[in-house]
Amino acid sequence: MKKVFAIALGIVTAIGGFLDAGTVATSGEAGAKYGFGLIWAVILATIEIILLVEMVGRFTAVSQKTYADAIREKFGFKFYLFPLASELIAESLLLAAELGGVAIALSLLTGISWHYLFPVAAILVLILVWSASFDIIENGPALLGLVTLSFLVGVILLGPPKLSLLQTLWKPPIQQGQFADYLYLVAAILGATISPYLLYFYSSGAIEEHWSGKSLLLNRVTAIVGMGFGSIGSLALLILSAIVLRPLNMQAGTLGEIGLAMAKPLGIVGGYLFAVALFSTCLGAALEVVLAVSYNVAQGFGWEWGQNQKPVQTARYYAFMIVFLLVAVIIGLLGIDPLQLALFASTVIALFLPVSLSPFLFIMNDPAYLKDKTNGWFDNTAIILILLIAFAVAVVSIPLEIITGGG
Amino acid sequence: MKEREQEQVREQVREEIREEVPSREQILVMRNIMDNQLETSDDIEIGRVADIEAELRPDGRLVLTRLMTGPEALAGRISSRLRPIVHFLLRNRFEHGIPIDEIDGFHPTLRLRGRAIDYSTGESERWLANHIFRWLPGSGWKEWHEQLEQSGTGTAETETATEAETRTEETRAPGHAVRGSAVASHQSKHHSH
Repeated sequence: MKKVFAIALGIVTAIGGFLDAGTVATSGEAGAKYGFGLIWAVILATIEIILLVEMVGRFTAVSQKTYADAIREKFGFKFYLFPLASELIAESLLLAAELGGVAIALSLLTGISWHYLFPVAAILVLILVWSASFDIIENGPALLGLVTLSFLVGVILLGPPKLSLLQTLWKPPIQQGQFADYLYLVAAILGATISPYLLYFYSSGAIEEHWSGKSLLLNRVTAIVGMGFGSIGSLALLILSAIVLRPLNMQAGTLGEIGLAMAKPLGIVGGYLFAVALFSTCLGAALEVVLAVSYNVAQGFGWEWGQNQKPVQTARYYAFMIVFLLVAVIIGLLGIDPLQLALFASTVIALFLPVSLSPFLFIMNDPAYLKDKTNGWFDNTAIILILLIAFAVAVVSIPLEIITGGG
Repeated sequence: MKEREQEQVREQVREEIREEVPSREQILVMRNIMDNQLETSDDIEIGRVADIEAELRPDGRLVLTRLMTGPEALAGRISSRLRPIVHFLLRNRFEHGIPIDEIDGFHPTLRLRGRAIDYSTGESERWLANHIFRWLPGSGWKEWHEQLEQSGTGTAETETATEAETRTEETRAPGHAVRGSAVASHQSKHHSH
């Protein structure tokens, strides 16, 4: 019974925790600009993250080592600096975007400008990471994030899409001069969904929750079913934007604008539901990003770490966490719109994906870590394809950033 | 029963590893030691092996003597040119050496014989705890400090921190010390020629 509960909780939290400022921004903009023309990118990204999450969970459960441990121990300190540097840069931007998302959600609910609420969001995250256990941090916002399933309700209430919109599924409406922008969004969708911070967080979470070789079923179900169903929120938001915003020529340039897509099917209640969904998903993601980067640094340098220990017992881990949060606050206080920051952060993440993901190919085939649970041909083929896609996205994302002016 | 069998298998594997791994004096396997996690006898993770120090004995043997930790040792891993710069900035205050005798078995996690308080590696953690976190509400400092006091290690940290590190200094045979990172750098240059 305990096992069933653990599996159910894993699925539920994966569903509720799938979305974040990045995926909300990319799904909203993708639907508003290209109808259903980027659904394939969301599905592709979802399949990739399912595979990666399952692998990293399996790795940690069997080896009792986290992803960051493995990178440092197997590849050495010099190589470790590359994914570390890429994470520090990309995730500080993303954290600022997530805090901005929380602030905007609070702004939608209270009417107060998000600029004033930004520090409130940061303080809330600080209080939670300082005092809450891992279970509360992982499960709390994710359970609240089940509100994202209301996006699916909105889609159902709107009824079937027009044929002209349905056609965009296999024929994206890319106007002349828009191809760079289209590819930029592909890169952003991949970067927003396949965020390496998820892997560091999931891997560390497996240790926090004392996973072992007996947890492989829980891991597989959480990854496949949880992440799979989690993408429903992302797809539903894309479809909502396509049906509601695109005919109005709205480009979903802000998070608030994306929320309007919920107002049509559900009225004012839809607006509030969107705000609550945005709040919970961005809060959950902010917590995960802060923890993921702190885990990465602490594990890479061999410090004591863990949310279930008192701050004084893991002083370096918490000290880094506070500094990292401060850096994100400083970035956020520059006043950049959180949606634009989320899109930019997602493409920076996409740029660094090959560096962050390449260790998988080696560690997942190392019997010293995984014994008889190493990758089979399917998983190895999948990793190679993921790396090729990541590399292609990385190569094009910088020129696209320049050409499109960051979306 | 199953758990007992599993424990027996684990003990067997540990025994095999102990038999396979040569004596401490014959080990210079950078790949197996470098970057490994260091864990003390009281289950505290204090850092990772940043570099190793070995001695070239008069009889020609290269013998591992100390494990090095800290930012200065790490700087040498990035670039040999960076090391003197970092050394100049940090004045040798943050480089710590742990004698090889302190290692209780060479496994993916290197377990040390002493407690965390016995090593200067990880001192920054205690400094942060005692000087900054003690003033922050919810840090758990009071309970942690009381626990340390009860175990008799509350304030003696700076006196004992270097004990383990100097213990084997007197017993070491004279020889020429080399750094693992320097050996690796030399070997890579040698191979490239």
